[in-house]
Amino acid sequence: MNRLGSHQQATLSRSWVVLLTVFAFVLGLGYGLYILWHNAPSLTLRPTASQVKAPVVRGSLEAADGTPLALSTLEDARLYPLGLSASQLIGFGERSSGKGLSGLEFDLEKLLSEGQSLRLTIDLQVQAIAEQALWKGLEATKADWGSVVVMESKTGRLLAVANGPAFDPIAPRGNIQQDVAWRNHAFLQALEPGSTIKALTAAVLLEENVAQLNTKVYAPMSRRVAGWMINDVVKHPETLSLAEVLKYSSNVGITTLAERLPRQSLFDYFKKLHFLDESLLPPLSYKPRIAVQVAAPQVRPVHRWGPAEYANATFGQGFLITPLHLAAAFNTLANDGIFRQPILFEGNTSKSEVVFRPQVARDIRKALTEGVAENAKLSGYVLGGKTGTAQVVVDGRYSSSVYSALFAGFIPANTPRVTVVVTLFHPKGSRIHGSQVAAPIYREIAARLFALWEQPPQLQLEPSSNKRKLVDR
Amino acid sequence: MKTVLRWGIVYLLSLVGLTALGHYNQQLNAKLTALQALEADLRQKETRLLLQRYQLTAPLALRTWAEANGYIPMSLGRWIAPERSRP
Repeated sequence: MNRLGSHQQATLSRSWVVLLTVFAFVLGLGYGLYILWHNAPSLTLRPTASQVKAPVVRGSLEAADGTPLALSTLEDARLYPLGLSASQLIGFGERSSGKGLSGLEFDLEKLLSEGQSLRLTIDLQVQAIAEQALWKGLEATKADWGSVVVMESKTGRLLAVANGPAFDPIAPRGNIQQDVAWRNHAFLQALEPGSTIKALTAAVLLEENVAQLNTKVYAPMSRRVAGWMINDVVKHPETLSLAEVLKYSSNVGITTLAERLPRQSLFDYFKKLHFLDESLLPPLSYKPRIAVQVAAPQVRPVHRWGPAEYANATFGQGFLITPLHLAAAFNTLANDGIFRQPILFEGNTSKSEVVFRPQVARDIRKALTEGVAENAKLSGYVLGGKTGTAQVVVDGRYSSSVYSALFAGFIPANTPRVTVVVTLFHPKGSRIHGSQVAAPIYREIAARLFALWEQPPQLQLEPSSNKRKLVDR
Repeated sequence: MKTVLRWGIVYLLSLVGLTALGHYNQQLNAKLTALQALEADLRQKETRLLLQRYQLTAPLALRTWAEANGYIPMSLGRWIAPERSRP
């Protein structure tokens, strides 16, 4: 019994040992498999992408054809593939994080930082044409800065927003107060538009039926208004028609004719042309409001317009607007009297508003074509526009040496496809007038745009001359 | 004793299997790390090439090249019949 009992006891204790060993083995095996599962080499065994929060890559900015103007990758904070092209419009950001510091990078920070990409209406070919012409013009005139805005007449789409001098967004940055090459002057610099406004004043005169293009006006070379002397620059006959007032850019002529209008009337047209509009471009979001920044115009309220202020306003002095404002207003003449809100992003809708009768816009375009500056003419094509040379206020007084030179025109002038505004600030040397420095830039842009559109010259518009070979005019 | 030996062999075999699996796992992990490094490298290379492509083919670059090489826009150029020699 005792022997049997001890044998049974031994079997029982061995079973316990085996059981415990098996248990420990299963435990070890389970732990091993568990570790294997959690350090699995295969990607499918790892947590899925939805479980792991991927880092947000900053949204990109693209041209109308999809070419990236600014993009980010996981490794690089911000890249600008086109370098100098449209760099002032796009802006730049912090080198480490890409956070926007200027231009669209700054204005659209909220959208871009959330990974949203945006497509602009900028046509890179037109942009390159505008930049090339502007930079060349800036070099020749030694102007402080310049800008070109090209707007599609029918749709209001901005095809080019060029600024100069050229700015490299990845180059080391200097003092941003002194070197203003980084600024998008076309949107951020309000200046006096000068004589370019005469074309719009003339349109108002026609629209209000107080004058016709052949209406004659006595226009000596100078006249006194409320104690202030108004002078003309280009020599002209003493009596001018309204069309000739535009051709000779006569300040005396336009101020005399504009006296037929009540001041309120011209001011109302300024409002209709959005000269008082602080938010010219449509916002991308209303709550919170996200929009591209445009400098606020500075126009005196009409109750502060005396005779001198009114006279000044008729030829574009005494108020400040950006080149973008001027382009949108001038486009009204190109678009047969309908104002089109400029748009910079695909998908935005451009609001429109009738300002002038179609015939008025066509008549003004015709006058601007017939009286266009010599430097803005292009053989075989119909071009037209208005020059402007505005005095600039320095230390509270109009400077006798600092001017801004402008040209606002249509390409082509008979059936405009685009409206172009060229601005040069403080050109130096003996040639400082809009007709001398801004008009050639407009012509250069027109020549290249016609080539881009594959529009051959019309031989009937060519002046007959002795042509012998392939000539470059 | 036989049972213990049998279980011991099973245990050792499993241990060898587990070790082999672990080794295989480590190999795969090392390979994956190498591939990921290669991927990052290639992605950087791709970005560099993309930038280079845009810089070389950007309209501004092409126009500058064309101008430097004497090309003129169609709107400015005129083909004129060759001058006839006088009889």
